[in-house]
Amino acid sequence: MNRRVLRALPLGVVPFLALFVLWDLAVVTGWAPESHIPRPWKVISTFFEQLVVPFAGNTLLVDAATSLGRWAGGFAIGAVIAIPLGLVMAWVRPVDYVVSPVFEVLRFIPPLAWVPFAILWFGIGAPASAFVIVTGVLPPILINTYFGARAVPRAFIDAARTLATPAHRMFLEVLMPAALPVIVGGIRLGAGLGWMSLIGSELIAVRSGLGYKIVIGMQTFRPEYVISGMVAIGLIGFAIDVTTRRLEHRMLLRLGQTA
Amino acid sequence: MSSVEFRSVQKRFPVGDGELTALDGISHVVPGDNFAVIVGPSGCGKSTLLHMVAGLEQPSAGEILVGGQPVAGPAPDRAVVFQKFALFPWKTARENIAFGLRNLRVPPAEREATVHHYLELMGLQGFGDRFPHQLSGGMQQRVAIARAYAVRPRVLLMDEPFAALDAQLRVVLQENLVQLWTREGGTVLFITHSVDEAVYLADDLIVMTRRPGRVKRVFDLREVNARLGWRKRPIEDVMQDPDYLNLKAEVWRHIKEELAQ
Repeated sequence: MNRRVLRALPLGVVPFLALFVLWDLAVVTGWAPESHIPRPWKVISTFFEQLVVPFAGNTLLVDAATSLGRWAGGFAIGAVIAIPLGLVMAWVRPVDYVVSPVFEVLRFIPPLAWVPFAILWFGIGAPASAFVIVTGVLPPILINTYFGARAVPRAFIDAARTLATPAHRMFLEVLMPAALPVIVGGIRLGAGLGWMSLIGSELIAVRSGLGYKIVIGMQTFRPEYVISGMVAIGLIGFAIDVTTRRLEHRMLLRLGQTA
Repeated sequence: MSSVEFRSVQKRFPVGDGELTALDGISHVVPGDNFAVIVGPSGCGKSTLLHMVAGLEQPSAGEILVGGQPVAGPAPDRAVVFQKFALFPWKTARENIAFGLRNLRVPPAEREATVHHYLELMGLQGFGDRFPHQLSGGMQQRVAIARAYAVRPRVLLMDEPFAALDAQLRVVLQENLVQLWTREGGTVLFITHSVDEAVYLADDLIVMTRRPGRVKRVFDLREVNARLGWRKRPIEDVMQDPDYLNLKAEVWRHIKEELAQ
């Protein structure tokens, strides 16, 4: 695995290098005005400079931490609502009939479309942003929990029933572990979508964080700040995905779901 | 000890706006401590019949008695070995076998001893801490058999337990099962579509018709079995036995009639 990553790495770097060269050429030849697109090295130096020098009120690290904290909070709220709700919908018919139609409509409203509503409701600040993250996190976790719980193989339930399994053990040791692989897949999707929704909300709803930083970069006409902020967002999103993917893999192994 | 008695058992399923009769007028008594094998063409409802004995499904009419008591829902006195094993993939072999015992609140020391006993009997020593996906198909089914036997069922229900295994493994497991049963006793109700398997294993061989499933013919093999000692001999030996071959041909003729119609 590690050796494969090492071998793939040089090839993975090629497109970035090509992009940098083309980008720099475009600026140097005057095809793209430097006032709109800074040269790549300037973005890189700005990125590192911001680690210590504040911009839009905070250093990059502080803003990244702020954003991550918001993401974690919104993600936790979303998961805490979505997982029990999904389980109940899967196993209690009337709840399914009541909630499903509403949810089927709501889930097609993208998190960004919730931003104006969130601001009207909560005003500018963390609660508005948390609300928007929840709208991103909730649907994938809910959908996966629902389908994961419904798709528990009949044979596991039958086997447990013939072995006199009490209700709590049926839930904790049969239904949950059987549904968990699919639920965890939803958690991974939700984590990524939550991060993207958060940045969307930060463009408008709050006065700090990585999203706010790139908006200020735009307003003060400092594209190097906009782009370095975008790079930070991409890197953190990637890190979130790698982490959740690893957790998912480990959990699947533990649940005996991968050969 | 515990007999299984079918009294005019019928099973209907709703299909579209009509009904499908899967089983009709099943009446038969399997005496206690007998190894009963039900063989029939696919779709004859034999699995449904077994699920009804397990209490996982209810008859539409008639009743099923186990040890003289009507079946009311699933219980470990009628443990099931499923065709696709149905082991819990997130539990080790040991935890799978111990699962029913924990539900029955068997004390830990006794539980450990029982699990150990069955791991050994099934030739699974050293594999107790493996997860099902780390075991071969044959071993998985041994764990499933051990899990069912561990709760000391009065009747062991086996739903085509070897159908998912290759032919060679199947023979080994059949011998294994016979050894286990000879040792542990109890009533066994075994479903299969393999005539070979049925004739080798059965005291009581029940041939079913195609749908709607009815009892077509019952062979009492206790006498033959006792006389020729099939189950005490290696399977390859039995397969040469003229009595075995004749019987197999006869059972097969009955099945063929059903397939041809």
